[in-house]
Amino acid sequence: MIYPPPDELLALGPIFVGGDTCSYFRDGRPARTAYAQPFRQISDAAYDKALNLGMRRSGELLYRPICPGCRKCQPFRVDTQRFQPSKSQRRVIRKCEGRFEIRMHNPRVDAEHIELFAKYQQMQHPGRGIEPSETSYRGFLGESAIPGTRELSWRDPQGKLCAVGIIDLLPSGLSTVYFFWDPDLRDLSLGTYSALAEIDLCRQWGRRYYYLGYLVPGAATMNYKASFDAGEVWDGTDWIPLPARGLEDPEVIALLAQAERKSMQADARRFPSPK
Amino acid sequence: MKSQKRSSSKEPAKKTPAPAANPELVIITGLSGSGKGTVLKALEDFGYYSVDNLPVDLIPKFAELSRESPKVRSAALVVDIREGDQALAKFPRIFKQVRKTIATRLVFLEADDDTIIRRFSETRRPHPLGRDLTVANSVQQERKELAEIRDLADFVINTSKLNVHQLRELIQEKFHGPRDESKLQIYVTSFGFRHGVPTDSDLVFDVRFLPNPNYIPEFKPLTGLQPKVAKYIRGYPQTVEFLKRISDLLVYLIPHYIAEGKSYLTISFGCTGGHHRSVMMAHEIKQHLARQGYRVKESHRDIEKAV
Repeated sequence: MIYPPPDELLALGPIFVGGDTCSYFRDGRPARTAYAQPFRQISDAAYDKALNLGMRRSGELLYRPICPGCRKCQPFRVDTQRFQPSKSQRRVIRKCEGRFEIRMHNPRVDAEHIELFAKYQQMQHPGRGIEPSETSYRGFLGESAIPGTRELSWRDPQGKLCAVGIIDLLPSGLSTVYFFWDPDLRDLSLGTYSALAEIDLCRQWGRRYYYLGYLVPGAATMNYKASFDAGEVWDGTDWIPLPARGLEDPEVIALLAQAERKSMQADARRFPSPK
Repeated sequence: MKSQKRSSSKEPAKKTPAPAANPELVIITGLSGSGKGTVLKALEDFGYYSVDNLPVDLIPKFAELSRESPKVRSAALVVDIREGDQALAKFPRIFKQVRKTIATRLVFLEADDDTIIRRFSETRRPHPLGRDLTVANSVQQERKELAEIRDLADFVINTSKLNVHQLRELIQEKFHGPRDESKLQIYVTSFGFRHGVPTDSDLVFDVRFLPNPNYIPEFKPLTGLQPKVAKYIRGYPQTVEFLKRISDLLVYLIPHYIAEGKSYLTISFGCTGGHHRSVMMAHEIKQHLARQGYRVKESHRDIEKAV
């Protein structure tokens, strides 16, 4: 089903609702997703708007899961003005600081990147990740629907590519799209360090919010997000502050359940699902 | 012809077309330098069995052959003055006789004196009668000699104001029919730029600007031939606009290609992998051209290849 975009998302062009299986809970449960594939690059401001209505970006595609009866994937962001690193996060900073030279530039697609990506996919999603071809890499991370997409490339003092972060620079902040790193460096907690480094960039540049994508309670790979201080979760209308007390905390559970309910109501208006 | 050669990989190029329903003979004659060779060549391209400079005495034999042979059927021949006065004198009788046995049309070509003189000076070819005469005088004499044959003609065409292409077009309208596009075979193909641009295409359209269904997980394993994929691509205004513009362009262009005598036309659409967008476009355009009455085939070069 393909239909005109809601008024708030006019810049995105037609919205397509398609079926798939859930990529967060990888147990084969059916998923429904609203996709937009803008004709040309949309402005950073239009993307900011979409992001603040719960959408995410993958390549030139913007999407929002709209599964009937489930909205566990809640957009999550950190207010970097309020953020304080936890004790364990400070330990990660101490461990990693000074090891890498991080440069920002437009996304690159070359053998070095694809090789590292393949290695990371193999470790993270053995046998079921994105196939590490030039085409799939380009479509996933090399291309973008917006002009604000940048790559942060991490190299060690010998110049070896150790990690790559793809970020979107937005008026309201910085959105992390993907981060992959050399599995040989798994002891360094680079995923956490990358988020902390990007929060630092937000502060340097005066971009207040750091968007981490979806917080998915119950999906193992997304749980680390709940440990961030000054977090906010999207309930379809507003960003709700979320105490950094982990996903077992009764108040956190209640807040997330309410956000899920309200999100489904808001999405039903914006992304009508086929009958 | 270039386009024939290039398309020959798809199927053997047919030199002789489907025979006409009824045997038919076209006799071309006229003034030297009036374009008889061009007309004969055009008829040959339109599928006529063509013979240049056939001796007048052989016309009945040739007519019989056309009548009997399933391979010949439609035939065209040039009779010209180089044969000499004797043959010329015989022609009216032979023509009337042949006409009783087979549908025969006599085309007489002529041009203004100035035009013929210019054509002879441009080609530096001597006028056939010009051994002792100036070109102007030769033309005058020939005009007089051929006057009787001119009176017998079904068509008298003055080619002074026509270039080669216009003359072909005129002949096509008279003998081929403007709506009979059966001689042009159109191929509409799709390909992926990743696998290289096809070298045998006359027209290549890049459709990589259209929304790419490959990124939508449920479409990834499918192709542009599947209705839901086609529907997705067509759901974007730029697709609808592009389809319309390309259709309009082709509907405008193809009659011109036919008029030029083109026998094969290959139109290719390319996207990234050759699975979705190009396939959908090629299929849509094929349908559109088929609805217009053209002979059109569709193929998808890279549809089986891995992305």
